[in-house]
Amino acid sequence: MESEAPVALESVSDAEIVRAVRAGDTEQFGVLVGRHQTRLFALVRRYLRREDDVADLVQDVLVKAFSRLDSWRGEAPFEHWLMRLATRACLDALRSQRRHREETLTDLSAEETEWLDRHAVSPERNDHRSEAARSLVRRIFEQLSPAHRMVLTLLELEDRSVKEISAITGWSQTLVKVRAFRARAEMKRVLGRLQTDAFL
Amino acid sequence: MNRNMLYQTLIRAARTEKVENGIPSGFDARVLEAIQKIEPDETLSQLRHSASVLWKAAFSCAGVAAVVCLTAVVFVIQEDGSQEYRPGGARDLGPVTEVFNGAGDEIASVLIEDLEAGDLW
Repeated sequence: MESEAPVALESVSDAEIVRAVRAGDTEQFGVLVGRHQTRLFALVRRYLRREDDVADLVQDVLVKAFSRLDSWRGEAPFEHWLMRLATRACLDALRSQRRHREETLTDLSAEETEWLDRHAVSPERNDHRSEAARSLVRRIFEQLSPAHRMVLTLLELEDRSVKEISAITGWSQTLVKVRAFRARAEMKRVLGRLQTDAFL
Repeated sequence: MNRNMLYQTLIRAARTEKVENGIPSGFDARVLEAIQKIEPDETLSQLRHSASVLWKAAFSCAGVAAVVCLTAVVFVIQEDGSQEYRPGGARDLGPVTEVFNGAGDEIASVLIEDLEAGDLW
């Protein structure tokens, strides 16, 4: 007698797993976690530095996704819905961090100051791949308001379109454009302050 | 120093940043454990959801009842041909009315008899 071949989990769609979880098979949610955790970690690491905070936030997002599984109607891919939840959670985390942070741009390291000096002398020759440049831009991003930081990250670092950002954040496309414009202006203002502090 | 150039250089620098893609070991087990803990709360939230659905059903029923009452009142007015609202039960009391009318006559006759006999004064 021919036995039925076991269904490989890779071939089962997210929608089918969600149906199984809704029907009470909560263990199946582990498959969704395994599938999407890498992208979730990558997304959250864009905004949070400490690994413990990153893991806690990803866990919160997945638990929230489990609780709100009924609100996923299957019109958009499950991954998009999950990323949207994660993006909103990151925005909330950034807002909460901003309330408690007191770090200012005057705390630049010697390497960062040196990099800025070099850039002032010969901007074309300065290496943008150095660790000093990366750490400097991290600091500057931390000075931006959470919404501005998010829109710049999505637009400039992840190359997302306005439409995609609108879908991820839930903001209208006009709001995304306005926020992108203001975010660039805010970043340039921070850079202006940096230049004043460094050279006066 | 050109601020726009500094902006572009720093954005290029940020793009070179490699995002680590490691996952803490046993992370999926940790998430499943957290989910098991929240399941009772979930049951409670489902109960709340059911309660809200029942409330909505109750309001709908009240709405239907109000419409039925209004329709009944309109039919009563149309039957009479008058604009005065009178509850259906009070219009025709039949034998009950006769009993009361008769009782009035009886009381009056007893009072007259008593007056004539001079029992009341």
